Amino acid sequence: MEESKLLFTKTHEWIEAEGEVRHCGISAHAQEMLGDIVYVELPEVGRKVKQGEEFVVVESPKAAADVYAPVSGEVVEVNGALDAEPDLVNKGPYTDGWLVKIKPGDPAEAQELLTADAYKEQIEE
Amino acid sequence: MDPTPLPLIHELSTPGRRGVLPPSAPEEERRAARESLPEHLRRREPAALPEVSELEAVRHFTRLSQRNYSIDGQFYPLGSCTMKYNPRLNEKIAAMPAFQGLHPRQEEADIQGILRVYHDLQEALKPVLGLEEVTLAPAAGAQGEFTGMSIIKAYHEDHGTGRDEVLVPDAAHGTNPATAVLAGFKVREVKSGQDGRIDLDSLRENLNGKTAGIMLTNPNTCGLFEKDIVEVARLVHEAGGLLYYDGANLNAIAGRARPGDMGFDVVHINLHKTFSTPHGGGGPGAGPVAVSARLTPYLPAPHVIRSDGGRYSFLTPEKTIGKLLGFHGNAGVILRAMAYTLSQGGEGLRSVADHATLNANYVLSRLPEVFERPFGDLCKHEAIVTVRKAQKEKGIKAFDVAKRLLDLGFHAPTIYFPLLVPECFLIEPTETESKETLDRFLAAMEQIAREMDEDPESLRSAPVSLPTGRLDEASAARELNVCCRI
Amino acid sequence: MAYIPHTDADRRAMLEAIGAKSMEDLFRDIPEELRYKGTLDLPAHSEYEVEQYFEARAGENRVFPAGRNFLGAGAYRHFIPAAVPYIVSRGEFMTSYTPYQAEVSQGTLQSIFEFQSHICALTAMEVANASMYDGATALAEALVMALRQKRTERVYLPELLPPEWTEVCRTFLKGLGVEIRTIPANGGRTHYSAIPEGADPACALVVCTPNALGGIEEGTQAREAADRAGALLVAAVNPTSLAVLTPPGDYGADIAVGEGQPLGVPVSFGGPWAGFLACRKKFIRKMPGRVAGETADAEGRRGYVLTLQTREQHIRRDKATSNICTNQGLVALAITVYLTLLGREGLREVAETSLARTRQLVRLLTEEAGCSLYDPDTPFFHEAAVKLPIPAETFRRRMKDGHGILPGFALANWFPDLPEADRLLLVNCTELISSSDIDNYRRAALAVLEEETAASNAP
Repeated sequence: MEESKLLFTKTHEWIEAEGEVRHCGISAHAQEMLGDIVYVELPEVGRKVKQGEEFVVVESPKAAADVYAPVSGEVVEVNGALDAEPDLVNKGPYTDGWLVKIKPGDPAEAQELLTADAYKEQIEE
Repeated sequence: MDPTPLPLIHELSTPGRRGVLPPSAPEEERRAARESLPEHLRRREPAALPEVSELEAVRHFTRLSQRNYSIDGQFYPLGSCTMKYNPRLNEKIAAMPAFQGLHPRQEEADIQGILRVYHDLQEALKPVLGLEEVTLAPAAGAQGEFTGMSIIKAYHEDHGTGRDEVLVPDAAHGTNPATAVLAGFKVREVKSGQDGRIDLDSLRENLNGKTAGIMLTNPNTCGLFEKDIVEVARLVHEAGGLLYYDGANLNAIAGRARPGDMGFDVVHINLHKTFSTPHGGGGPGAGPVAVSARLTPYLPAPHVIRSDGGRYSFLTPEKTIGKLLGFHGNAGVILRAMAYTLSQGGEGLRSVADHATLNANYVLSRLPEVFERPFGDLCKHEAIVTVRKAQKEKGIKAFDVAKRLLDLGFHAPTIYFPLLVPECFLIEPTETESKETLDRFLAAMEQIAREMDEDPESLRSAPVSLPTGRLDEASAARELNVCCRI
Repeated sequence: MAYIPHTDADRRAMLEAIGAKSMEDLFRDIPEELRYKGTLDLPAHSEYEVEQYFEARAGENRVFPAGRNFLGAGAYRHFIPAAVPYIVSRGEFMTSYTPYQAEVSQGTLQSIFEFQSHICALTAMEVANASMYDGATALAEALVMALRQKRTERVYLPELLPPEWTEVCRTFLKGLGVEIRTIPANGGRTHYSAIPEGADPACALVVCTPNALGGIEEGTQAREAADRAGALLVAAVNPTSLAVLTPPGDYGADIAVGEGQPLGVPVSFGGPWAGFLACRKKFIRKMPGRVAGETADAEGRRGYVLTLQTREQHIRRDKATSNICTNQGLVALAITVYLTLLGREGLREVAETSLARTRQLVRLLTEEAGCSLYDPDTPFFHEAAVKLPIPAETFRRRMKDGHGILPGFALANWFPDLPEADRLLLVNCTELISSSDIDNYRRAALAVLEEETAASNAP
């Protein structure tokens, strides 16, 4: 996934800008702050989430970070490879380290998200 | 220290080797016993315990012990933990056969001695805390918290208030929110102000008709006295809530100020902190709880009372929250704490607070400048400082400094707690350390301050003088190898 | 002042360095109206005076020699090798704290790892934690753990669970809104068929074996009942018994808990003891408490750290699996040393001898003293419920007052509703009871029974 085509939340999640089913994950900045990811607690497939709802937990040895759903919708797939290799989130936060695929319920919600550039500006502050 | 890893006890095992022989019935009787059990209920494979000689075992555990820092061996200024000297007298008392051999189901006539110790300690703690009644039932600080919060819950249920929210400051010990949830409350976080103390505006915003209470530590986790505590108590009480006091930091104020006078309704304290019982690498401790008059009916069972005739007995309070443990609390810890209380007396306890505060302030006043003081120059029993500048400018983290201190023969202070202050150290020297020890510690901190400029690598690579270097916590958490198999 | 090293000169120099005028000045941040002006009415005592106070208290307790103690009911007096208290009292273990700085805590961390390994070996479970406060709280925490795993707010507890354990579970579960249902007993055993197919779902079903009457339960029946309720099976077990009885892992328990006191810890009026908690690996992230894990440093040297800390209160705060902060460190160490010194053969001898002596006692009571077993069809381990020809409380009092023997536990205290409850006595023998101790018991019991029977037959 190309970083420039992703949308970001203020709380460091990303989601693909387009598509009926979209990958989402945590930003490169977020995984860097967390350090070595040792475990990812993924939601059940089929779970309906609301924008801003905690739906994934990403853990390093000394921290556990809640991941909030960037948009409302249904979880249609989770990244099973993270079970064996949670550090994929460190190695490729926008590629192999994606967390879940969501089918967004309300496309309008994505409008409120940040572009890659806007997100960069935010974290530099 | 010897740099080679020690084998696991299981790796020393040799089939057929025996350690200590227990009293044993003759083989034929044991076989008959074994065969009396229905076959499908018998264990098929023997439990894979090690087979070593007594000397091998003693040597193994002795060598293991030598890989620990301890109060007996090193200065151990772990903030929030009150690592003071653990008097040997207390150990001698707790080991007396008349206490260790007491079966917890013996009848009250045969256990008057231990019941009196419980009662005497309950009575001794009341004036220290300024509250109506004390229970020694909780097994640890966290269980004391659970007891206190369950009492608050029971009070509100009894009065039909429907209140189910508890306020917890953002800088609180993690046990506070965890306990509130376990007791069935929802948690609301109250912000700390720039001065490291509770923010009254944030408190007012969070108080409402659902507020059951607030959990506070005073001095707080930044080692600062909550100056507005009387106002906090007024606000919370007026809103219909109760005040819970986390007594982790009692060592700073015992005999100088009392939670009851501050307006607290429930208090837990840690006998393994202020009252000198050993921490034992993580336990056992004890977490007595004190309550105001209106909360006494809810105390946990059993509670020790003294009748007019001078007999001591157990009582189950009328509206008790119930039992916390299978039996009667950690008697061995209670004995030690009573020995300490008798040794110190009332004046001694105040002197403890005075000297704990003196030592912390002395360290705070003499630390090199790179250890910034975020909240001014007066603290209580522990001092908080931060290396956030060094982190920004040189990439030296609190973690690095902590590991370097280990190389220099000191246990590191608490780091990264409270979360409020980045790259912080919480330094609690306690009253039992001499000025000379503090000066040696300060000299080590000065050396580290110099090394930040002159030899930062010695910080980043520390520790180098110990049996292991920095351990890979990430791989431990990924592999989750938590037991070995023979 | 005791244990405070400061001289007057030290105090002066330190106050000066701080810039404070006096000790009181260090407390100037405490509002005037809160500064305590009173005195705590408690004199200080010298070391010798403190000892005298405790000698006096010791004299007010009555401790019975091991050979005259047939009282168990949750606290068991076993042989404790001399090396156990020696190791535990070493200052390096005793005066250290929770191993946050792993490099200077390898002693504590490795011993916890060895404790976990011993517990896994005994229970035949995959993983264990570093210990809990006691057996009762270990069970309560196991139920909370099952709740977090299954999210069904109901548990099934056997009627024959020691009532104090049931009460502790109730205290823990109250705030979480969990319903507690009881599985009835059928004689001396739990009636697991009472949980039918389609029973109301639960997060946990408990098997306690040996149960509160000493009876050994059928673990596989409990497993099937748990499945019928969609529940995790939690086994509460006596650790000594596991040297001879099927371990929980073998009948498919999901979580195993128990009281570690019988493994080298004095009865000490009920504490400090240590509970153990082991489970299947797939539930490890829902497990409460400390866990030590193996790892290595950059040079590949093996070492141990506290792992899975993200479940714990200091990181996870309101979302933690439990509020517990530590373990019962020193007590867990005592258990580790005990199991090491006894080893696989020694623990088996302890268990078999305890069973043999209990059988011997039960035999004489039933064959010579007119007693009967409460449930002759249920096998027992080192404790058995015996029906006496006279009230158990009378028997207990006469045995103690007249013969200096604690003959057992009067079961009416626990289960007043059992048939003929007032005649039921729970007797226990460990390997510390010799044949001649049993003979003493026999003589005393026959005398007491004869006198009481004569008294009740008197016109």
